[in-house]
Amino acid sequence: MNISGWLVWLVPLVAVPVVPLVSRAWKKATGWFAVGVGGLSLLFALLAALAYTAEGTETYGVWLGYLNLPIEVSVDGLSVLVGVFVAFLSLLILVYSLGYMRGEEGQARYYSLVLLFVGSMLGLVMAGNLIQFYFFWEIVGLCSAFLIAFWSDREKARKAGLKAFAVTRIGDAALILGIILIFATLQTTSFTPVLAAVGGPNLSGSLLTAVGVLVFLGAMAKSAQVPFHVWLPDAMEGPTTVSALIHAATMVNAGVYLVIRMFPLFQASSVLLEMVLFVGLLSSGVGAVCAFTSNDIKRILAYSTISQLGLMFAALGLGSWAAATYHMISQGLFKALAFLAAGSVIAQLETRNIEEMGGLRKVMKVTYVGFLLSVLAMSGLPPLIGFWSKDAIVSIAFSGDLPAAAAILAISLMTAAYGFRALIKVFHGKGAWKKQVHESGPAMTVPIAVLSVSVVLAWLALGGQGYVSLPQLPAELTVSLALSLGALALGAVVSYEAFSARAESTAGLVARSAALRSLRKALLGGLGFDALFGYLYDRGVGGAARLASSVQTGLLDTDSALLLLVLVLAVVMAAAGAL
Amino acid sequence: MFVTGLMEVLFGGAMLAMLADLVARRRGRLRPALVGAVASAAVLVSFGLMVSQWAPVLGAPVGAAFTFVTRPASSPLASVYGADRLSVFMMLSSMVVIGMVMVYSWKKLGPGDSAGPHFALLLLLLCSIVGVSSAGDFVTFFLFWEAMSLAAYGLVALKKDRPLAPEAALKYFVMAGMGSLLALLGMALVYQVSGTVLLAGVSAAGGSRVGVLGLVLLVLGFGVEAAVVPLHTWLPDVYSAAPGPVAAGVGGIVTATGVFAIVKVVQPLAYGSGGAQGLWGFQAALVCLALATMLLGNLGGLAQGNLKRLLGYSSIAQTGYMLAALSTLSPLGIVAVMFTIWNHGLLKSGFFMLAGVDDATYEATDLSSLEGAGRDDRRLGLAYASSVLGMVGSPPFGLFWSEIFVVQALLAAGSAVFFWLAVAVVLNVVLSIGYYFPVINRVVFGAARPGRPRATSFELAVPGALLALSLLTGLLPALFVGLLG
Repeated sequence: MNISGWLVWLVPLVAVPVVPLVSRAWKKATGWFAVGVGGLSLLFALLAALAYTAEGTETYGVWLGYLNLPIEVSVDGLSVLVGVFVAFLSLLILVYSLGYMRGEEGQARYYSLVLLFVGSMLGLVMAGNLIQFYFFWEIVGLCSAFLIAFWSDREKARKAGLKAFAVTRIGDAALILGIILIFATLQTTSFTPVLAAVGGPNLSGSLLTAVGVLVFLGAMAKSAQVPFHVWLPDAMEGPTTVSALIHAATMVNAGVYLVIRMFPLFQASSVLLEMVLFVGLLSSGVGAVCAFTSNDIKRILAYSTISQLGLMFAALGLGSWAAATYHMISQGLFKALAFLAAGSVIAQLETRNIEEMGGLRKVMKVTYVGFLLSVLAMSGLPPLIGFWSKDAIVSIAFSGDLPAAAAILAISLMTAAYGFRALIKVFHGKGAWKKQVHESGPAMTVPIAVLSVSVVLAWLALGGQGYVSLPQLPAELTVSLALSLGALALGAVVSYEAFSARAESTAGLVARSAALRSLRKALLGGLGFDALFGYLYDRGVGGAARLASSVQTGLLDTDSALLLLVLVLAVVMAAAGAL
Repeated sequence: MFVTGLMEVLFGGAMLAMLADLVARRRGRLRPALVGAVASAAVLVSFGLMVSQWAPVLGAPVGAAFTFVTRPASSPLASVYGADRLSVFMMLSSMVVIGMVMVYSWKKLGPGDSAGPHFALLLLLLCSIVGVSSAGDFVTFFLFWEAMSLAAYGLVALKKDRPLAPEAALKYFVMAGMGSLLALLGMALVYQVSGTVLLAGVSAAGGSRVGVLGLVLLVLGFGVEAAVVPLHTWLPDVYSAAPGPVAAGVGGIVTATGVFAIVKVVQPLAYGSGGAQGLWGFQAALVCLALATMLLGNLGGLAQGNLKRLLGYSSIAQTGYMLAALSTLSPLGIVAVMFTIWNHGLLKSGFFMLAGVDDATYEATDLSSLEGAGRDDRRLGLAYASSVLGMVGSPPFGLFWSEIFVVQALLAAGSAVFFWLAVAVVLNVVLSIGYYFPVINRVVFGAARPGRPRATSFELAVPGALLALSLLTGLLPALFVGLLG
């Protein structure tokens, strides 16, 4: 029995109620305790990976006999690889929190929620059946909501937490229907038998499509795909550590992970694959466009995350779960790095507006190098990790679906453009800030340095690991590689020209042109998705609620009159029936 | 047979509680605690009695087993009892909820409150729920049903000086009385078709239109107590007017007993061999009522600014989910309903206790008055947040499983109607977030307002215990579902 496969998620969960006790006994040790638990978790993740020999599901007794539901973990290449990845990032971000959250109130609340998140996220990754998966899926969602609302004196943060919870729950409603539809059909939700039944007599045709659509709706909401993406930019109201861990590197990947886990189901239907491809490309485009206009450093990164998650779904739609897995890990590393670097800047300048930054490259060297590497990796510069994962997707698109390949290239261009725009505005040019600025302390710079190294070198480790056979670049790559590097260069040059070399004429151009101004406004408003949903909710649900409460007169006369009517009607009907 | 034993203990306890009230009348603030201790002891004894004797009942299949008859069996008016797993589960749920309400009442009642009648009525309420759970014929059932309703009106009206309470109790009395009338007519029609007053006779009702009409009338009649739309109008008024402990009892278990009465009607159809043939009209009525109830409950909840009214509307919505599960007329649906009664009872009664920390006036439980109460007192805030999460069906609380069970019962029924009904259920659960999260947003995260009276540890301990039980159910559901089969 691979005992580490259990301990990796049980240890953080058991530690959750201990955090307040530690905090009460010795306040300063709270963070260190959490770091220790994170370290243990990473240790068990590594041990689980080392002990892994062959694919299999491990069952430990019965959770709920009534639903034929065992407690089980699936120990396979995918889960141990993703488990190590999640535990590694969690530990780094817990260390970073020691610096970033120092002096904040509510340390016990923060660290217990983060550990609850870490344990549940790992529980989700290791889960052996869909109901267990869903159980943890819900808990990571509520940790996310409460951590977004962590600074609860801010109305905006509270609203954002609520929004994240509500929007993802819409997707979850579909997911649970999908899961129980599977259960009602197959009498099991364990991954192995479910996937074995795909295409068989019980799970095919329209039922299979329905299940696939329902599951995918859940994945879309969790992974912030259009039109469910509206919660993610607002989620940036939370502490930056939370944005890095939950809203960039791990939880938002859960939707992608779900589709990867259930991939045979999606592969069985071309309709499903096309849907996944379409939603992925659309979200990727929307995210990239919106990232280009925002002035809030964290919202830029959030839109970028939406865009990158879209690319993962596109890879899945193109039929390659391996490329999606690669990009999931790759994005997790470089986006967490970007957030940690951004957090380091925010902690110094106490603003998120990039117009109020600038010129930081000389005073915050480690942070600068981290952000630079992150942007380069995201844009796909070899040999950084983003290059391998993105070019895997590009080359698959080239070999199968040229329109998709063209779209991905366009998105790559946009990616480089918004990435360099942010880099230039934050770190280059002249600083608009007045106060004394210096590099952050070691608790924050060490995780940035570690992630910087892993963004440069992780492809070696990922290439050498034997758990999941990730795509190696094919030989006939030349065309796609050239085009993809061309897109990177073009995007970088455009941004350099527009925001550094000719920054003033760009600003003048936008100021003069009414069309550009309104385009900018539309993009800043997230293309109107929020406004539309707000309108629909107020008008539709709000109106219905007012109507419903108007029925409630509170008058006994009217209420009992209705009952009397039913009674009379019943007597008449009974008499008519009896005659 | 332990059912009569249970009822004797509970009834005797009620008498003892009145006696204790008399003895302790000069004890001032100790008086409610003393009377409460006597009453709680009666619940504890009956609980022990039940657990010690339930093994053979739990071992038998749901239905006819363990039926027994009191007094002259040949007489047409003999009382028939038939306890099975479902009855036992219902008794367990009501004992836990009402027992907790009693403990909570120890310190909630002031020296001027009528402690004797309060505890005695709670015991009579429990006694009649035990009777309702185990009645085997319509006559016995109806007697206990009426006794239960009377105890509930009494509890709501007991604190006469409370604003709105007498009016609410009157409304409750009139509406539920008319409901009983409908149910009585339903019983008569079913009797006409089946020729027996035994509850099992219901299974013959599917054969004719009159029988189906009888079934629908039974559902509507019991549906007043269960707050089935459009017969729900009394509920928000009563919940908001009743004092904290009473709201916790009525909201936690009495409304659920209304649903359980419908379970009793459906049970012979669901577990019988005939299946649901000839009953499509009845099922269609249940589906429509379920849809209307869940939708109106949740939409009504969205428009509320008072916490206790909001909780009332949420109870209506829960009744809607339970009716949806029942409309499948399947054992799966019934198990889903029973498990919901348990999970919802724990959370809702605990929630009313939290709201009851300060509910001397109606306005005190307005969300605007409660603003920031959970920030002033972090323990209260944690309890509020957990209760909200539990109520919207988040793991690791028990109601999470109930939602899964309801959806499973619907999808296992395997027809398009039930699929769409399942879609309606899950979307309605999402809708409920729309009014539950503002509770967190305002009560837990709202601006602190120093000087507010703090909740005592005792006031938090009882709802805390209920939350802990809900958490236990969420983590180890098999512990409790096992009792249902």
